[in-house]
Amino acid sequence: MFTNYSKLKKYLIFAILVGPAVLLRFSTSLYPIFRTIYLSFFDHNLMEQVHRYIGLNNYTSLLNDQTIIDVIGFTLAFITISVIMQLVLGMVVANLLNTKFIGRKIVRTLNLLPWVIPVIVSGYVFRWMLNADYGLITDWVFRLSGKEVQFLIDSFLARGSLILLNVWRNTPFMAIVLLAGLQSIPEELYEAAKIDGANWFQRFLNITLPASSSTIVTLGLFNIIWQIANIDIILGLTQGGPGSSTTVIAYRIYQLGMQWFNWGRASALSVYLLLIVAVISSIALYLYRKFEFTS
Amino acid sequence: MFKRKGKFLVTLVVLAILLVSVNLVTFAADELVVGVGGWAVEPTKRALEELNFTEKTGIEVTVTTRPGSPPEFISQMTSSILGGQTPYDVIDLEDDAAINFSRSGWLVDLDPIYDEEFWDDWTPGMLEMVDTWNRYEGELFRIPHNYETQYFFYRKDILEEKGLEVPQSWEEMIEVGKELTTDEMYAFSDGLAKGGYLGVYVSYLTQQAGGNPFDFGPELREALKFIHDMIYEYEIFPSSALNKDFDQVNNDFVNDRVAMMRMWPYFFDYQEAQEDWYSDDKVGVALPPKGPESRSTFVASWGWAIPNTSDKIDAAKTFIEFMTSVENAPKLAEMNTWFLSPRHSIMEEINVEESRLASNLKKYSDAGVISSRPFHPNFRQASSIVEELSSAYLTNQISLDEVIERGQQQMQALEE
Amino acid sequence: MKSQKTRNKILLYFGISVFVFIILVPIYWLFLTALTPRTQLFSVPPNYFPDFTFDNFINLASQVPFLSYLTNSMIFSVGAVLVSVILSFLAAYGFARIEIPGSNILLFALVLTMAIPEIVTVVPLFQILRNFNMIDTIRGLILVMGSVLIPFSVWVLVTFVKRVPVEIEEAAIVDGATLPQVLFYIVIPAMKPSLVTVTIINFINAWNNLLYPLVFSSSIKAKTLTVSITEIFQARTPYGRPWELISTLGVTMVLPMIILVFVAQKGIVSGLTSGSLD
Repeated sequence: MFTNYSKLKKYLIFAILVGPAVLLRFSTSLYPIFRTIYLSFFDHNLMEQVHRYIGLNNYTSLLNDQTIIDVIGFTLAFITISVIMQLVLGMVVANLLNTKFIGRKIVRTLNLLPWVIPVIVSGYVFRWMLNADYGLITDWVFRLSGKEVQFLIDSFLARGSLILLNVWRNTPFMAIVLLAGLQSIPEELYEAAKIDGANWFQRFLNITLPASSSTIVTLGLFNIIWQIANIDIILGLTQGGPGSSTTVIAYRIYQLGMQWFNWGRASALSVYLLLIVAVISSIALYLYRKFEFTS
Repeated sequence: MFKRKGKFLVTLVVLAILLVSVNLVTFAADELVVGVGGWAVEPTKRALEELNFTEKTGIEVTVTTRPGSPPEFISQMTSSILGGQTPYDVIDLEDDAAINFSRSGWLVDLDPIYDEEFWDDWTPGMLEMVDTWNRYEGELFRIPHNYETQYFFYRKDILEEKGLEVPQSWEEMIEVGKELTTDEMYAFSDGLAKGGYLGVYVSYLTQQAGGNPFDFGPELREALKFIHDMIYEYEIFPSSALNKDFDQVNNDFVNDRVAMMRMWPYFFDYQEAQEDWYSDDKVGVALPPKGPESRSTFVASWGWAIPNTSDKIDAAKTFIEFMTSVENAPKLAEMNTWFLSPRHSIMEEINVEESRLASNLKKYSDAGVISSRPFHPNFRQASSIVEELSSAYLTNQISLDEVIERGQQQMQALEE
Repeated sequence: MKSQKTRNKILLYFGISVFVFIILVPIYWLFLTALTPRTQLFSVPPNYFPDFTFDNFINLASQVPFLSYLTNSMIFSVGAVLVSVILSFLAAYGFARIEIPGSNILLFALVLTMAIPEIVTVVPLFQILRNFNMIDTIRGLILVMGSVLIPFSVWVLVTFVKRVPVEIEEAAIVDGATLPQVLFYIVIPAMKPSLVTVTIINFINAWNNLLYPLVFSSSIKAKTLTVSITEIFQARTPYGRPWELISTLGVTMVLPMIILVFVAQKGIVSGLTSGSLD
């Protein structure tokens, strides 16, 4: 398309098509991004009413803070475990929804419900269900095992609960897109494999997985970006506690900037987050290209 | 077929343009916008109506809901004030947000409203609070309209039944607590969730131990050890409290699951709403048990302030004067306890015996147990540090020594 | 052989039941809480069969101007969807069909703009909106939210445009069709399912967004339903959030979504499935 157009005309059409979206997006995001990068080199504290250039000081002092190191560590663990679980479970659910059974349409619709509930509301729902006294899940665990488990008070369990909530919310979306990937695979491929004597797992490994890999990479990327910047889930479920065990980078940025008014520090931490996302995105894009051409 | 689709798309585009332009007309609002917490909207409106504010001053007022909790409220205000605007001309401001805003230089100096005489109406204890929590660099940035302290509630009937006396000290709390705690009922409980609850209780106890939590000194250590012991050693305080808010503790109390608790005055309204349960023989209010140093409880307050990005500062000042004057304050206090404080004019005018809150406020005030809230110039962050480390210790993630060590480090970093 | 088939079937239905159960329990709990009288909320063990009541809904409506917020939410979400989907579709077409050096980098940059946390963008965004006189207006909110949704929409739509056979478009051009005609009559019909999908995803994201309406709107003119979560109260405490009202609000926010999902489920599921994302 457009190959026989003059260069100028091609550029012009491109500008007309792409221009509005790019302009709108960049006009509302470039200034915030550059301002954040700029502020990260300053001691910019609203409550002390200072604005002073301090070079890389914000960056180094963040890394000297053990809590921040823990927070970065937990963020990476949170994202990695969440995304892996979402992909694995999403694949299981997608396969389930792809088999024929009575009521499949309804189940496919039900599947989407966790994902349409506002994150902060599902955070509260889980906080309530996991409450040590009035909680539904706590009650079930007690009835089944006789143990009174305090999910949101034990730091390990609180972290687990946060990840589980995140998985509960995001798996359905993963599943539905993976399902789309599955359905684009011709049935004959499976039939042929069956005749060759491949079992369920081999068929999955050799047909399903390669055919869906580019979907997985695309989705994984957006999933990571969405989840890494989201603080509603923390606000709803744990407020970052107990201690700081469930605090993620984005929540710390929110505290540093919006609550403690230390925008210099908050900006530097945002730049770290931006770098993490950029690295993840680059890897994802590299994989995407690779799969796009091989499959 | 093609045409229909084209039409459909054109309709969409037109609709989009319509939607975007629907708000092009901005209203020129001449009304003074007053932002208060949702619970104070009706009382404020009623007060203005009954005292004929608009008739007397010629100022039209819109009373509107501000986000109730500090984090969201601060996010909203910060963005708009830094953008040179404000959603409200007058705000009903709590302690923590007030510190953030005043240190950032966002609030109008209210001293010109009143001359020195006005302050004769205030008790020395109140004036001390005004100086730390309502003044910065000599300027008055907020005029408080209430004075809420934490009360020690106990179950009269249950203590009587077991022949026990109300504990008068921390030691007695443990003794009485052991007697009271059964399978169905804990002797004590409290709302100790993160996000504004735990820090308050830790401050309350640290003050009773004679210190300020933000120092991370021996007093904080004592307070934390005391909570930890009540929970884990004597088991007279549920560990589930570490994830509770005030609402849940109040519910535990009226469901006979807790015998004693510290609570803010809204429990007075709360208990009376439980018609089937409440009776005067059931709930008593005692002075707080004495800690190693003192028997104290601190005050939090809400007050009126004006963001300096408002374009109706004069009208806003008139509003604040109206709401806090010696003439009107007692009338307001009578209408709603949201405007109750121990100012002389109020205590003289209103019938103290009639209101449970007022009589207990007077009792506490007369006993001299009310003190100023532990202060830090960077209150929110300092509170978060206390809360985060306390929470980590009380959930057995770190030791008491680590709390003190890390706390001191972090507070020092804060000073720099 | 037959018994194995039955066994598989049993296993399948067992798996489905477990799955549906996990999905539904929190949602059931949300609805149950919204219908539970306040006094029965805090029971130990939890009350599985409370007396139902609609008091919480009445209470919610007395605390927040529900209808205005609902209308605003609708206009805001629909507007953000229109802006993002229309602009993203055009851009996606450009990215997919026109070979220009550097366009890949531009696309990558577009995606990367999502990586900055919402919270650090609000202060500068407030300044931008104020310069255009768009504070406390729905159109301001629409522009911001529309912009936020663009990177994802473009990225997804590019892959779908690539899926439409280019030959038809070229033939149409040769026959004298203009580019807008090609877009309207060929590309859009071919991409309808994916456009529907992106529309719904964007709608849900906008509908559930709290921060932007909270910060950029200050009056009933522009506040959305999500903002009411910051305004509901149980008593005069800035900290406590009334659990039953959160649930009630949650239900009122989710109900339209559930209706949407049921009505449009064909759109979402078959929309995605008729052309996969890869």
